Amino acid sequence: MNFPIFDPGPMGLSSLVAVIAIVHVLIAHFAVGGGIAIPWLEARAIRTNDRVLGDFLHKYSRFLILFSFVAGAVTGVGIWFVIAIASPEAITVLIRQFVWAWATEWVFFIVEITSGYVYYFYWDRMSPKTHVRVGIVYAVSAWMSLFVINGILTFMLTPGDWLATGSFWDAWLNPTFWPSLFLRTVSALALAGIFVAVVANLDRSLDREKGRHIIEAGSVFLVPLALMIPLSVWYFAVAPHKASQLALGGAVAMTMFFGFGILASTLVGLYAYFGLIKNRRYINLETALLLAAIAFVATASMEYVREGIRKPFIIYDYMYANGLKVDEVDKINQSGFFEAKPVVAHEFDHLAATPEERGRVIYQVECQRCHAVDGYNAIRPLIATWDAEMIKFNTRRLNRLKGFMPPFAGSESDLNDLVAYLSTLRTANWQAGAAKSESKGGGQ
Amino acid sequence: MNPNDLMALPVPPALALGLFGLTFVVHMLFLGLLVAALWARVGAEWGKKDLYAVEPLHRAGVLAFSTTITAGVAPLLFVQVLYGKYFYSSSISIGFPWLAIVGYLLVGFYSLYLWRWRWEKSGGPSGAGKVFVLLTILCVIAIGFTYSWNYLQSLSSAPWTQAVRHSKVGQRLVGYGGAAAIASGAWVMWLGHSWRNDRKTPTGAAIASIAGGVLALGWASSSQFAIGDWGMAGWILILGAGFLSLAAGIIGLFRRIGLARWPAALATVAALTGLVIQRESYRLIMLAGDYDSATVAVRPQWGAFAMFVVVLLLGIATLVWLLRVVRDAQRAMWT
Ligand code: HEC
Repeated sequence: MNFPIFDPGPMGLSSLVAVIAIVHVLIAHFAVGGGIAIPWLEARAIRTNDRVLGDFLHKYSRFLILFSFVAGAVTGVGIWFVIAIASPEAITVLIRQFVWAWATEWVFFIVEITSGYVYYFYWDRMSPKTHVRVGIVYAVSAWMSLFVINGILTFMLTPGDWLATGSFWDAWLNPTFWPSLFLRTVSALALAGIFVAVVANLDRSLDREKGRHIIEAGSVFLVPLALMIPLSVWYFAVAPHKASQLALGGAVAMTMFFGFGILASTLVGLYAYFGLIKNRRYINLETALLLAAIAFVATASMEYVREGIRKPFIIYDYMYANGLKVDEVDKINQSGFFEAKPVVAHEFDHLAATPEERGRVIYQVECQRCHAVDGYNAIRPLIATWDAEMIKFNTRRLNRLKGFMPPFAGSESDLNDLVAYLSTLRTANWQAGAAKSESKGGGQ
Repeated sequence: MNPNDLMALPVPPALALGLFGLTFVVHMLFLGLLVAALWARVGAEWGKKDLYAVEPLHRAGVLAFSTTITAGVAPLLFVQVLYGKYFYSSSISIGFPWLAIVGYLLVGFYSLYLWRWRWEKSGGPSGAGKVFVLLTILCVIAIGFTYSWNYLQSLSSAPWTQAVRHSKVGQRLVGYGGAAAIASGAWVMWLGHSWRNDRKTPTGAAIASIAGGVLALGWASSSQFAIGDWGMAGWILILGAGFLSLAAGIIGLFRRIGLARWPAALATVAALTGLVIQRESYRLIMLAGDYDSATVAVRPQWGAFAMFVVVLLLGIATLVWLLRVVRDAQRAMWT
């Protein structure tokens, strides 16, 4: 499979993916959690004849629809576009394995959107019983879309038996499917619960007593957060050993993010139970926003960890983050980079090119996904103090130098080319000249 | 494990192509609803009161935008299954302008919301309202332009070496615009017919939109390509749509909108199907030699397909139930 290369400049490809992905995950989780919370609470409001809660839910569902239907759908499309540009090889594999899963998710998504609109726009225009039923349709379809997509996301970390069988079911219902599904459900419910507190505070028509009443009702959805620790233990027990190690001490940043995510979640869960439900504490706007911020950071951290621990792979044990397949690397080592013609697709006459030019193409294919020249995880400062010998020495053992880098793929002369190019980065003269001849898509 | 197997298509190409065509038509239908809603808003802001009269069109705006996006996800899925290599390569070579679609979507969508909010607040036309309408229109055009660009760019075995002229994209866009106009006319008729408070519905505008759309679509597609076996079928359908819209026009002259909406609906389906057939035949002609659906490796996942079909049937049943709930609720509102 040959693709041209997208050069996003200093922003770097992985940070571009990360930003959109995290925004989308937050919104999508909120949509799922809110979708479950609202009909649940509405049923309760009807049962207890609770007008205050009922009116509040109408406003809250508007918030959900404005927020999740617009931004959720759009960032969903966005993440798709960005990943297709950043990792076309991986997307090609995913789309071929999972087209029916995505098609199934699409059906749930349509039902979710339709029922969501009916639920909101026909509030008070049908019998309460029917209305709750519409809400339940919304909740089930929202959660089912999470159910489906969860299998695709977890597949990338634990393809499991699929590596041997190539079967759809092995790929979809893979080892981390269930722990991840529960983790996501818990965090989705928590986001919904926290937003109840935020919206209740923003709603001027509520006095303090009513506000407390609503926040207490919503805080039920925070309690499952206390399960974060056992669920994570389960998750890491079935994740690849190397990946678990990265999160549990192997990589400092990852461990910190993970620790923060877990700790913050558990504390919020305990606070919800003992503070809000048992002791009927009130949450004011500042606290609610603070909780929301913590939830954001915790969710983002967990996503960061999920992406991070998969390195150096994009599909574990099958494809590296730079799009080279594991079994491709040996081939490239033997035949040489340009003979094996991996991912790069420009019309590039490597025989006529200088070593630096060849090295640059190798860099674009094998390194650029994770390293911008300057900017995100920039390569220039990393090698600034190294001489050519040192660069060569370290590049040869890249995967041992930092466990989350794929091995260098290529022959001895490819390695020399790459080193020649990387060496120019320290002087930066050649780079300035080359930038002129470069065109979008990586030069022709 | 045979790695070639993993790269095999999970679905016979004909089935994927059929599903692509079907979902693409649905996508264009909703795009038509969106265009109709935008028409109504232009009418409301700039004073054409007869279009504004169709109140359901205003309500439909936000809904149409999200259904258009949602319905668009499915053809996007199948296009990747079928032509992923070309599609990704062209997306990459377009680069940031391609990613800008996300921005257009956000701005266009929120402007729709804001328009409605502004209209209710000021109870009529306003400067800000006009800006919101224009913003949405511009975003919809920009999205269409970018998609057409990507489509044309991907019609090559090496998309990154191909530079597509923007005038060509513009011409392509006229074709889609025509298709959306046809669908919008049909929506205006149907919504206008079922709208109860005022029987005077804008038949003339709807029919003009359909006829103009057929012309634009016919011109854009026929001027663009050599007619092959399949292309011919598409062309005949678009021509047929022309006659149907003529029939709708004649019936419309007698103000029989209830009757005219049937040929209008048929014209819409025929024209959109014709568009899809032409579009795909053109693609296959351009990719001939590099891509041949008869020789690609296939390893169908029938189990997963069955899951999809079951969920689809359940989903349709649920949607029907939801529509009935809505109908009952509306009845209750009017009585
Ligand atoms: C999967 C993503 C990924 C890929 C692909 C990748 N790297 Fe890295 N690399 C990293 C990360 C993350 C670091 C750590 C950066 C830091 O510590 O600040 C790193 C660090 C480095 C360092 C510094 C090591 C040190 O000990 O200071 C060098 C040199 C380097 N990479 C070179 C390369 C080269 C050359 C390639 C291509 C052949 C490459 N990398 C491909 C992710 C990647």
